[in-house]
This record gives sequence, C-alpha cells and structure tokens, in this order.
Amino acid sequence: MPCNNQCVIAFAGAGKTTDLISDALAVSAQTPLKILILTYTNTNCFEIMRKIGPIDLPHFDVTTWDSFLLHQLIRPYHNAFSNYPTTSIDHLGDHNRVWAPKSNVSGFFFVDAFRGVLRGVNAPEYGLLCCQYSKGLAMKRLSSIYAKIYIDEIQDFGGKDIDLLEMLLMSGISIYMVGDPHQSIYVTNVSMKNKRFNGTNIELKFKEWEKRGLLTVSRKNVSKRCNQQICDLAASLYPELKGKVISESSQKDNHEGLFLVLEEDFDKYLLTYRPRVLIWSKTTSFPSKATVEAMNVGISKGKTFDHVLIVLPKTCQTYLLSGDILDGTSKNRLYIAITRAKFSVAFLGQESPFLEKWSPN
Amino acid sequence: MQINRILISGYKIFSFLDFSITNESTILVGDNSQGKSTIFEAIELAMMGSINHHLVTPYSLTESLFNKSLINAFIDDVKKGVVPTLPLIEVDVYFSDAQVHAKQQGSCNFKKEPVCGVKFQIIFNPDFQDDYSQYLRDNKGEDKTPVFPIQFYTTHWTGFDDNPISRKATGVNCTCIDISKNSFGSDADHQILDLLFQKTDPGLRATTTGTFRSLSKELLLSESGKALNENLATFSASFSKATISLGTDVSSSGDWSKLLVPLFDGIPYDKIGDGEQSMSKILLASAPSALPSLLLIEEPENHLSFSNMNALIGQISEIKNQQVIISTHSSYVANKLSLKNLVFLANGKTLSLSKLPEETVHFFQKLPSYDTLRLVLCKKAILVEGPSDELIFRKLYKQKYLRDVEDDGVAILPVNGRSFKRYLDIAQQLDLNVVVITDNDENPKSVKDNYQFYQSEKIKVPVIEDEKEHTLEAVLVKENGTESILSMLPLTIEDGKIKEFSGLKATNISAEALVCYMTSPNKKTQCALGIYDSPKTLKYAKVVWDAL
Repeated sequence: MPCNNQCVIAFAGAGKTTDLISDALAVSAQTPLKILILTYTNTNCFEIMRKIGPIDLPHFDVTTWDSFLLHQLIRPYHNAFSNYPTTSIDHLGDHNRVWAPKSNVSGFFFVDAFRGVLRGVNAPEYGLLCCQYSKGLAMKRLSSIYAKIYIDEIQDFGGKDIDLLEMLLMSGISIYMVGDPHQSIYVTNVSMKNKRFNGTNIELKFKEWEKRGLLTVSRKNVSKRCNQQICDLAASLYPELKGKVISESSQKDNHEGLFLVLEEDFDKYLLTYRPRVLIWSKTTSFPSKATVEAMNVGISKGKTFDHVLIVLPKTCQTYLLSGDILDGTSKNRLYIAITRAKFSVAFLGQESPFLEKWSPN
Repeated sequence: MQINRILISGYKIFSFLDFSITNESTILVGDNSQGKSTIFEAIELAMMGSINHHLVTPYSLTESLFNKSLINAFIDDVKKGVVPTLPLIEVDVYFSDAQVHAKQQGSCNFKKEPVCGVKFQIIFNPDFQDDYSQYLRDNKGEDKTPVFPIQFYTTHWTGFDDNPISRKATGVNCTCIDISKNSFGSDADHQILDLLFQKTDPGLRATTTGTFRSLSKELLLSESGKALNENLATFSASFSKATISLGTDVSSSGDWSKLLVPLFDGIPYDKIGDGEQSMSKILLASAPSALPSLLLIEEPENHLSFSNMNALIGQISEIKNQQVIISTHSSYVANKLSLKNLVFLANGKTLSLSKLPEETVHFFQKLPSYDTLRLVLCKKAILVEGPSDELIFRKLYKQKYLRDVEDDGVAILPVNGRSFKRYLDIAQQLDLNVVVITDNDENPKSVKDNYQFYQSEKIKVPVIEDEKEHTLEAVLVKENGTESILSMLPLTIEDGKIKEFSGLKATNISAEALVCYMTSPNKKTQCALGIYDSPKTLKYAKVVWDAL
C-alpha cells in the first residue's frame, strides 16, 4: 500500500518551511477541507501565518503542538476517558516530577484536576488515552476537518509525543513533516519514555516507521542560504553529512569565508562587517566596549544573517583547536549557529588550525 | 436542516427536556406556561450566547435562569448543613450537518454522544471555592435565610469538542422573532436594525461608519459650532485655567447606529401598527440570506388580521435554506403549515405528529379552519357531529359531573361527519382521551366496523345498538319520552300539527312526528337550545352516558 505520509529531512537553509508552505497551498486549492500546520513555537506559528498571507489564511489552521494536543486531541473526547475539565497544560518544571501512580488519574495527569490544569510532562499520554478511548472518533473528527497535516520542526518531538505522532501516522490522514535532526536542542516532551529517540536519534524512529510502511523519508542535503564553505564546516560536525552538502546560494558578498577573531580585534570586526553576534547562552560573556545586541543561539533558530560572529563558552573552546565537540546537544547548537550565516562565519578565540585569522589591516 | 435535537437541563421550567426535531420546519404547540418560549430562549442561548438579544455573561446572570425546584432543594440543603448539589444549567443543541460543523464534533455533551453541536453551560466557577465554603458555613441553620449564590457562577460556551466558540464559529445565523411581546421606541428599533444589518453588505456599513466620523467632526467646525465654542471659551476663562470646549465623541466606531431609525414608507418603525411591525419583522427575517440560518418565530398570529396572517403563512411556507421553528396558539397556522411538523409540549415532554397519515395532513391544510389545536391541547375531547349535539352533550356532561366542560379542560368539538377519522388520527398519535359520539345511521354494525381501528383504552366510540335510535333526536325522544322532551321545547300543537308557540303544553303527538320536527334543518339548533336551556334533567343512552 502506498503511504501518504512523508518526512523530509533537510539541511539548514534548504528552504524546508518554504517548501512546506508551497505544498500546503497547492493542496488547499484542491480541497474544501482545511489544512493544519503544526509547529513548536509561537514565533514559528506567526512566521508561517505571515508567509501564507491573509488571503489564503482562512483555509489554514496554524497552531503550536501544545494547542493542538489540548484542543484537538484531548478536549473533543476527553470525557470518554475521565470527567475532569481540561483548561490548560502547565509546563512548569516543578510539576514534571510526578509521584502519583498512573492509576491515580487526577494526580498523575493533572497539576490541578479541579480547575483542569494538565501536567505538561504527561499531557501527551493523556491525549493518547483520550484518543484511544474515543474508539477512533478523535481521528475521524480530524480527518473530517483537515485534508492534510503539516508538521514543522519535527526534530523537537520527543517522549510521548512520538507515540501521538505514530497514532497520527496510522490515522489515514496525510501527514507531511519536515525537520533537521541536527537542529534539535530542546524537546517538546521531557518524559523518559522514548528517550533514546530524542533529538538527533529521532531518525531511528523514522527508520522504524519507514520499515513498517508508515512513512517515506527523503533527504534534502542542500542549502539555499549558506555558501559552500559554511556548508562544509557545518557538515563536518557529523560524519554522515561530511562532504555531502551542496550550496545552492547564488548571492555573493565581498566578505566571505571562515574567520578567527582575536579578542583585541573584536570591536573592530563588529564595526567593519556588522555581523550578528551569537552567544551560546544567556550567561556567555564577551569582551566588547561597544553595546552589542547579542542573540542567543536557541532564539536564532530559523533566522538568516549575512555574517555571524559566534562566541563559544569556555567548555567548548576545544572545538577551535581540534574541530571536535563531543556532547550531542552542543554539537547541534554549534550547527545552528554556523548555519545562520549566508556569507561568513567568525569565531571569537585565540588559535585555530582550520580558520583564517582575521586582522584589521 | 441545521439542528435536530435540543437538550435542556436545569434551565427555568425544565429540570430536563430532550427535544428532537425531525423536520425542516417545526410547529411548537402547548398550553400556556409549558415552556414554549423557554425552548426558544434556550436555543438562542446555545446558538448565539444571548437571551432576547442580550449577551449572557458571568456578570449578567440572574437567579431566575435556574430551575426553581433545584434552587429550593439547594437552599434547603444549605440550611440543613448537608453538602448541597449546586444547580447547573446546560443547553445542548445538536447540529445535523456534520460536514459544516466538523470542528464542533466531540462527546462533550450531556449524553456523552459523539456528534456535532454547541452547548452553553452556567456552572460553578472553581476560583470561588473558598468563598463558597465560607457561604456554606455562614448559612447553616434553620433560622438562616440564604440567598442563592449566583455570584459564584460563570458561563461556558463551547462546541461539543469542549473548545470555546464565538458567535461566528457556529456558522449558523440564528434569528429570534417574538411577536407576542410588543416592543416600543429604541428597543423595537434595535431589533429591526439588527435584522436589517444581518441582511446588508458589511462593507457598506464600514464605509458609512467612516463617513459618520468625518461628518461628526465637521459639526463643530461649522459657523454655529465655532460660535458656540468661542462663547464657551470666554465664559470659562473667567474661572478656569484650562480652556473648555466641546468636541464630538468619535471613539466608538459603531455608535452612529444609535442615531438611526428604521423608516417604513417614511414612518418610523415604532409608529407603524403592531400588525405591520409583526409582518415586516417576519418578512425581513425570512428573506434569503447567504448563511444557512435558523429562524425562531414566536406566535406569528399575534396582531395580525386574517388576510395578513394568510399572507404571512404563505411567506413562511416559502422559506428556503432556513430552518424554521414556530410556536403558535392558532390552529389555522398549524393546519396550514402542515400538522406533520407539529410538536406538542406538555409537562416537560414532547410528542410529535410526524407519523400522521399524509392524507390527513392534506385534509387540514385544505380546510385549515378546523380547530385541531383545541383537540391537541384539551385533557379530553368529545367529538360530536354538529352544534346541536354540542349543546346536548354540554348539558349531559354538567349533569354527570356537576361541572362545566371548560372547568375540566374538556373540549366538545363539533365535527363534520366525514372528518371524525381525521381527528382520531391526531388523537392516536398523541395518545389523547377522546369520545366520539356519532349516529348509528340505522346500521350499528357498520359504524362499529368503521371505527374498529381506533377503538382503544383512550379512544372510545360508543355505538347505540337499537337501529331505531339512529339520530341524536331519536335517542332523546326514546330515552326521555315524547312528553318530557316536548315539555322542554318552546312549541305548541294546533290541529294535530306542531306549531311553534312558547308557553303552551302539547299533547297527543307521536314520537315519530316529534323526531321528524326536531330533525328538520331549520328547527334542529333551536330545539337543542330549548333542551339546553330547560332546567329539567335529561336522560341518554346508557352506553354513551358511560363513555362520557
């Protein structure tokens, strides 16, 4: 049986969101039903809505995964499973430690069952149960509303969300998902369940689904954003990508390449090329006399800049010397930072064998 | 068809009502205070979130929305210190077209059924838990007089998927028209403006709003406006440091509609007659609209002359693409709009006439002046052949029960001989108590056979066995004797022939001649009136007397 579900694994800047939207627009033109686009962050939702534009937007529902879980998976048939109200999902870290056994529905699934506040960490499982107890009606409802479901940033799925995803894949509604497993730095669900599939390893799950005939996986190792040098640098982080990524960028700039910027040249470099400074995390410090608006790598996801200047924390300085970074999440974070740039990537540091040292003259 | 079922729980008169709608149009009948208007309100509440065009919010809730018996039970429990059941209100409206309302699919309704629909709940707000427990402590004790704590309630308007909805989200335009309540002045204008705006292009309204705002700014830039402000400035300068002047309030965008008065041929809407108002409201509401809509009309017959009512019914039966629910007290309206659509409401239950034979439906459609609703609404019906029979049985009923028929809610309906069965079709559907009193036409067996199908616990057709007692008059003469009947009639005998002359006693007249006289077409009613007015008691055939 041919399967209607496809997953596109794409390199950063491959234009996966753009492809997703153009496919969605094409489908929406041929169906009276609506199109659902799911993503992880509100920012991304607004970005997609902006790209669709106000004229076509009425044919679409663009929501976050969380909102979809609450409004479309849990609420419609929740009373088939339990009688508590379902008002909201609470993701506060404190509430992720659950002491109640699963048989205690109000304690295990709810932070406040009386007001219907669901416990973020167990909400997907609650959704799964509601859908199972509906005896297929929840999925039938979705297929009577939506012609196709699109999921962006698929790499951020984890924990019990993966089980929900599997249920959607088996529901008979066409699913189109895109993502870049290397851009996974946080995960929608922190539960221990399916932990081995979190982040980059979600590809293992994709392979399993592909074997079971639930999904067709395709790869798009091109970048419309980054030039070849930047593509190669980012690809070199992962053995399976090394040397396989092709730049499709046609734009040129007079400052292209990979650079090392010494601390004393930092301000000068900023003045000359006005790169976007990307810092590892909120606490990363850098030596600048000028007031610079630095951006956290996590927030830069999905964005494009002409030039970037990356400030690594002390723990990751070894990268500059050996080109190696051991921890998987750090690797992904670096990958995101590098692939934001169209023309040049610079690092703040002392010494590096593979970067060209920049000098003000 | 837009909606096919309504569930009302804890709202006003209904502690619970489950009401299914099977037809495109529905005619709701019932005695006064059975909850016809309440059903309309409940539908409006679930569909539009409003009651009588006023939005229902947590701040506009009143105790009167709740079922009285539930409130009383609650107050009693509070006084006793027992944990009370908080009265709740829920109205569920089921949608029939799953495709249009796919999003409102779910099992979050009273019956937990997986269908499409919307619901409105008035429920306890958990944020007031502390205040509520304080209330319970404060009001415990038989000497206390607790007030129903309406302030702890909130409203919850959702689809059956439990997700909040807005007026637009229901996708159905629900219009409620209540003819029975007269509206005056701005309220009448408001209602009709609402209707007019529903039918007009929203773009034009927006442009007019813009024009209004610029025009109102110009008001104070005119000669007189400027002069007024100059005058004010000189005056205010004497006591205030600030310059006081007048400006127009252009803050709220839709405000200009308050200045509008709907005109009909140049006459303000609230000045045209009541009948005209009713007509125009219904005509406007039933005009075709883009959205599929639901039209609720209360008692369209009010204020209307016979000819206007006819025109109106014509208009209503022409309505396309709209579901209509009508409440009425008029048999004429019900008959015309097809009795098949009739739903009878009594004691919190509904009965439908949807299985009524097609033939009967057409019969009453063609002869709409038959009083079908009297049959539907009475506690017991006595069907008789004509007005003289009605008079006689009024008298007999009073003799038997010592009360007038009206006092017992019994209706004596004069029916043309051929239409007994039409009425019995209705009675059978609604399980009504009916006695049919018909002549045996000198062939009791054939009459019996004729009504065999209807005879039941509830429907009685007593047939007098004696072939000679073939008419009402024949029975009367036979049972009471010539003498006695004659004494009740205002007549006398001359030359062996009956001559009318009140006051004189007649003798030596044969029973046959008397019956013949009494049944002659121009004397029939007169004789019956005489017997009715006579103070003497009357006897009648036992089989009929027992059935009465």
